[in-house]
Amino acid sequence: MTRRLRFIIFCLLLFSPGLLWAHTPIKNVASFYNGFLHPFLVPAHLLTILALGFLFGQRGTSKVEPAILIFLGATVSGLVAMGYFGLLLDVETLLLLAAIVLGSLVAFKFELPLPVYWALAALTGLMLGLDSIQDTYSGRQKMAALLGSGVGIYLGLLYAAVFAQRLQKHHWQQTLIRILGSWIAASALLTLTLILAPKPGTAAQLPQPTSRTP
Amino acid sequence: MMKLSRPATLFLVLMLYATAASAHQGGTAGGFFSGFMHPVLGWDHVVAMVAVGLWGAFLGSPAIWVLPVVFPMVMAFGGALGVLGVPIPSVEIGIALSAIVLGAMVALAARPPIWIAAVIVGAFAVFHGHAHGTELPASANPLAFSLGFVISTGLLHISGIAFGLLVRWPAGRVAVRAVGAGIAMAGVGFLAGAV
Repeated sequence: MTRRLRFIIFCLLLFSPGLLWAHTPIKNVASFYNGFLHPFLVPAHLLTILALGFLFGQRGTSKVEPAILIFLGATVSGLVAMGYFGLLLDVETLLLLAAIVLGSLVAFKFELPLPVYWALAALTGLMLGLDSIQDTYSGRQKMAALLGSGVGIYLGLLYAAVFAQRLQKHHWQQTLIRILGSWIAASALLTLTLILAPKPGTAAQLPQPTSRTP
Repeated sequence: MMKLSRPATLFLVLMLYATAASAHQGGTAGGFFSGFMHPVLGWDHVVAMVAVGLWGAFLGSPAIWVLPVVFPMVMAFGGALGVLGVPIPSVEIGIALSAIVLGAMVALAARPPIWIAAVIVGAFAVFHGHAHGTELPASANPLAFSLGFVISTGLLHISGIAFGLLVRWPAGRVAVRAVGAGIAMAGVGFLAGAV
């Protein structure tokens, strides 16, 4: 093998390493982190959190501080109601509906009375908490997962709010947030329609089984 | 130790580069990607989206944000009608007309009141949304598909706005109007194909 060929092979091998994962992304990850990642991996949650955060950021976080605290309280209430009292409600549809409303408010930059922000924060936080079910855990692990979900939801909201608030200085930045709001509303509307629309292959459309005589 | 020829050695090294082949797209990434590519792969959609951005930039504030905000929201409404199977007549003709009208607005430097511009853009958005909506249910992940499709549409608007910002300079104004004329002519081609 010539030196040149060795060099070529060495260079080729430099490009061949694959990704090295320090931790498994989801499987076997600690229960807290699984809970923490939950709102970021469920698109309906992520859209709703982003939309509410952008709405708060547009208004200014200092003005909506009570709403941010109400959101935290409502999220914890939802998590406790679902995790400890077994209140299981399918609120994904309502979350998508919330994303449509919140995204539209961001897109058109409506300045609402402050109590409306409090109500929106309470409803959204409660729904997010109720929908953060962690079936696979029990005992302390479940508590850690619920805590993780709460922290993830709250941090997600704060980051989105601060991001939107920072992008209020220039006109183009405000436009960007409005466009992101319209994207959230449009995506949520389409998804909600797809969920509610009759799916092909449902009972009404499936071929009826024919009766056979032995 | 067995000696390998040069080609055989290189062949063995290159085998290390083999990656997994996926027979089907699926999951969130597949849904997002197919949704993202959906508007991009249809020229009639692409030129109309770019025209919306160009016109918004041409009209300046507030149209620069009103049009790209109105379009995806009304398009989603049209998409919902498509998903629900609500028929809209002559969708392809409507899409072709959108390229003609929006391109002509840019080419002629039309400056209607903002609400008229929003109504024109919104009316055409229904046709585009309906065309996309009828193909949505086949997607593996509806939300990922919808996100990809809305973001892709928005990015086409933004590319139109970016080019449209050239109107600040006289030569740029000519270039933007020329692109508008090109879009209108392409629309005539689409209309001929649709009729």
